Amino acid sequence: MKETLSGRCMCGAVSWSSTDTITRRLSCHCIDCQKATSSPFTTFVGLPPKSVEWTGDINHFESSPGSQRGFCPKCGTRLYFRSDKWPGEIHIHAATLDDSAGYIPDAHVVMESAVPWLKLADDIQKHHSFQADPANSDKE
Amino acid sequence: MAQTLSGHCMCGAIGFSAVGAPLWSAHCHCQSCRRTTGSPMTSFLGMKRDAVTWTGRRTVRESSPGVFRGFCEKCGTPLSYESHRWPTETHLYAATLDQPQDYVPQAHVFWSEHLPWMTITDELPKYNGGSPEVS
Repeated sequence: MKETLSGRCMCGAVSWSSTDTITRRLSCHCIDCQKATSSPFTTFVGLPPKSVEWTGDINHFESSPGSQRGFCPKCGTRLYFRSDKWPGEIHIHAATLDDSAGYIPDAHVVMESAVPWLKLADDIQKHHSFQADPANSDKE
Repeated sequence: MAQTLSGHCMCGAIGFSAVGAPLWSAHCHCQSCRRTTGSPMTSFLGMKRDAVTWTGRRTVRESSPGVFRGFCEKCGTPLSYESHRWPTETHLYAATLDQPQDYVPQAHVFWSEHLPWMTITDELPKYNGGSPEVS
C-alpha cells in the first residue's frame, strides 16, 4: 500500500517525503545503530530509494564499507542508513517523521546485541539477527 | 558504574572522559531527543560539567533557547546535552560509553511524550516531565 510520508531534521534544514510503499518497519538493536544514534536502539522506515525526495544538504558518513549514515550538518539529526547489502531500500529514521507517533514498527532485529538495561515488553516480533530480505520475507 | 567513564563518537574524532559517579541516569522520551537521535527514545547520564574532559571539538547547536546539543560534524554522532537550566551539568548518552553495559538507569523522563507502541515493564519511575533527579 502506497503511503504519503514526510519528515524533517530537528532544525528543519533537511526534509524528505515519499509516496511509495514501505518496504520494512523495523527497530534495530545492532551496535552500529546504537553508536550512530547514541541510543539503545533505533527505528526505521524502509523505502525504495528513488521514491524519497530530499531537500537540504546532508552529510553522508560512511560508517562501514558500503554503508552510509546521513545526518544534517547543521543540527546533527540522524537521517538515514543505506547499505550496498540492501540496494533496493533506504532506511530512514522514523523519529524524523512528521507523524512519528502514528508509525508502528513490526519487528525488532539484531536482538543479540540489545542493551541489557532496557526492558521492552511490546508484542512486536523479535529476531535474534537480521530479518530476511523483503523479497523472501514470506519464507521467514 | 566505574568512577572514570569514557566514550567516543562513531568515527573516533571526538572522545570524552568523566571522573566521578553519574549524578543521575534516565531514559528520555521527549520529542526533541527522539528527533535529534533519530530514535524512539534515548538514555542519558548526568555528569558534573567540570568533571568531563573532551578530546576533539564538538559542533554545538542551540536547539531551543538555552539548550545546547553537541555532535560530531564528521560522523554525526550525538554527544552531549547542556542547558542553562542545569548550568553545572553535562548530559552524556549512555550508548556512547566505552562500557555501555554498565549503565544503570533510574527513571523514565518525559514519559508523557513516549511513543504509543513502546511498552516497558521495568520498575523504574515514569515521570511526565523531568524527574526530581533532573530538575
